[in-house]
Amino acid sequence: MIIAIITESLRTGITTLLGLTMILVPIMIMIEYAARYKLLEKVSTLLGWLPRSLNLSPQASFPLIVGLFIGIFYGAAIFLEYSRQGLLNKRDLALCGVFLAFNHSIIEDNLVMGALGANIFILFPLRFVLAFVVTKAVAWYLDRKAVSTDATRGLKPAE
Amino acid sequence: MQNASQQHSKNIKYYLEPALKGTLKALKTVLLLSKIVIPVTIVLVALDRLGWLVTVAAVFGPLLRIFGLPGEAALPLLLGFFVNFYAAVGAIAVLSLSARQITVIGLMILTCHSLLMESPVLKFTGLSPLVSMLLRIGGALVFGFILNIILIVFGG
Repeated sequence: MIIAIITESLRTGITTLLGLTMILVPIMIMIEYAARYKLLEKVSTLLGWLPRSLNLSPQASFPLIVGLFIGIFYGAAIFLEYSRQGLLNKRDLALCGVFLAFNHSIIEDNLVMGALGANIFILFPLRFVLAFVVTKAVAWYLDRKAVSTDATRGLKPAE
Repeated sequence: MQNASQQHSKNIKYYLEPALKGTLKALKTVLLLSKIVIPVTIVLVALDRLGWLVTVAAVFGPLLRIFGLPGEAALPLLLGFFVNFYAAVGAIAVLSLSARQITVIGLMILTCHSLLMESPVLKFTGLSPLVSMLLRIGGALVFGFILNIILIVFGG
């Protein structure tokens, strides 16, 4: 019984790990080359519509792209640095946080799920759209709150 | 002549360096992941063999029917939410689920995973861990529900 459990789990576990290796090796190689040729900086101009549509300052673009493509830890580390330097305001930081919370390391995550048998042509766009919708909703909420606090302070509400 | 070939080999080394570095990083990651995937697999296979998976499935079955999922899907979901993404991957690999079910579980787990690890990291952006956890758990449930309906309507 115990031997059967161990052999079966080792077989399944090793198959899973081999599958992961086949996905992770090319991804990590791509990331290394992307870093050398500064591909992410180039992509961040391509994906400029994303920070723009959320009314984020253009500085948010690069850490957002890093978080999206490489992972939340790297993206968040850059955000920490930017917030220390005062490059981004609280609203922009929080919105990037919300978006990345839902949608990060999009290449690795989706390929791994695809390898397990998920339909990534549904998974990838849907996750992106849903993350965007939630972030947009939070932006609306934050901006409305900001307007009302400004109003209670007797300031002219922003348009 | 010798100088030129030296230059050449230096160039090759320069161009291949990222490939080598990437491969090493990936293998290190896989080694790290094996510490998660193998134990999760053993536990799940044991649960299955001991017949406890049926109990789990019976408990969570009614709840997960909302997402068009079988009861045992609770295991990858809970592992994904609170342990991490790759624990869920290990669990999905053990259970026999259809592609459609894996897509729904996949969306829910991609939305919400490794909460205990990622929520403190998200704090760097000023988002409180409680808020990001609630947003993501709520998001996963809503997204899973929506995707299940989409798949029913379009017969995916």
